[in-house]
Amino acid sequence: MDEARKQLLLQNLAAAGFFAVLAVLVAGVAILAESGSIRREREALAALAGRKAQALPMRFTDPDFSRLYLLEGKGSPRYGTVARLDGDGGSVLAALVFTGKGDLEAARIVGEGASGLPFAKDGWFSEFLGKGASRGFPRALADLRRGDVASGATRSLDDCAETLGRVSGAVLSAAERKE
Amino acid sequence: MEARRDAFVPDPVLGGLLGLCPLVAAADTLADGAILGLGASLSAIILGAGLPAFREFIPERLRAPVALGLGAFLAALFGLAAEAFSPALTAGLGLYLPLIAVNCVTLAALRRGIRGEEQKPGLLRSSLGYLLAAILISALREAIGLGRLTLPTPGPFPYTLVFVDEAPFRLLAAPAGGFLILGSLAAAYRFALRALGRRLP
Repeated sequence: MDEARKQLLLQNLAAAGFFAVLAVLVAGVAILAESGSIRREREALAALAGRKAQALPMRFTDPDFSRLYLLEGKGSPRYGTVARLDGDGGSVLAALVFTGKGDLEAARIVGEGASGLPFAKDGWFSEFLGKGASRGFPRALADLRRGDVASGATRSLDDCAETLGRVSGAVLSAAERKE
Repeated sequence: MEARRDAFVPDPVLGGLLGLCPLVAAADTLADGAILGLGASLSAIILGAGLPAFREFIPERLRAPVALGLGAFLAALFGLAAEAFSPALTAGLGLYLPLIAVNCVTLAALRRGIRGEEQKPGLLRSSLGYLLAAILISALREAIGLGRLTLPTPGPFPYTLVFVDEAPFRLLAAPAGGFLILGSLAAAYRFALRALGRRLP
């Protein structure tokens, strides 16, 4: 091999080594960040379901959720995830617990994107689901007679229904695989 | 007069209409605009200031790929840092965080760095100009469009100033509204430049 080729090969190897170092650094930071996310999600789901989230989450390539946890405890298995729910009032991160049949059992807001509205910080069903109209979710039975209240509840449910449906589908496929 | 013109660096967004994609598509809240603007301007400053120093050590044919690799590296690190800062805020930004690597402001700094051109103070001015324009556009979109301002505070629940409960002009929060705000600001910017006797290069 002549000197010029040798020089070229060395340069290419040096560049490849440089890119490999960058990739290893990014992977290292990503693993650290991911372990922090998994720990936070596991804590949120354990607090919500009263069950322990299994060590290794299942992976999904959905734009709104990426990890599904098997929640261990008494009785039939439960599955949990932290998903992004988008609505007219902004976006929130919600911890969701599903039964093995794909039914939503419990939900709680664990973070909000750009909503900043009070409903995102309290109970999810009573506060978030149902907001969206000019008036809040009915706190008294008499409020249900107002048309705009009912439409607000419907709109929020509609906003979330698609994502919840996809999570439910993922739970069903995970439950099938487990069996 | 001539010296003044030489030193003038137009705002990359309002003057050069560069790096618009994230600002009109994703930056519909102040927090989103600040995060995207900070990512692009930090990458541009680091690459623009750092590349000329290492330029001599990199063979000419490898300068562009190495610089692009560094840009992608910085964007990836910034994305991970932003996610750790506020997972809920960054969840909505999606692809726009890694795309900071190919933002026009970042690429312009990268190109000048590869060529070894003197960048100061233009680099700092254009980077800060991009950040300020991102903050201004996103703040106007959120304040007028949604009636609130979401501040980029750490943690799962960012602090939000709510002015009105109902969004007064929701169109402005949509990408079409982003173009409306951008067009109005760019026109005002040009009008102000003309009043000051300056011209866009």
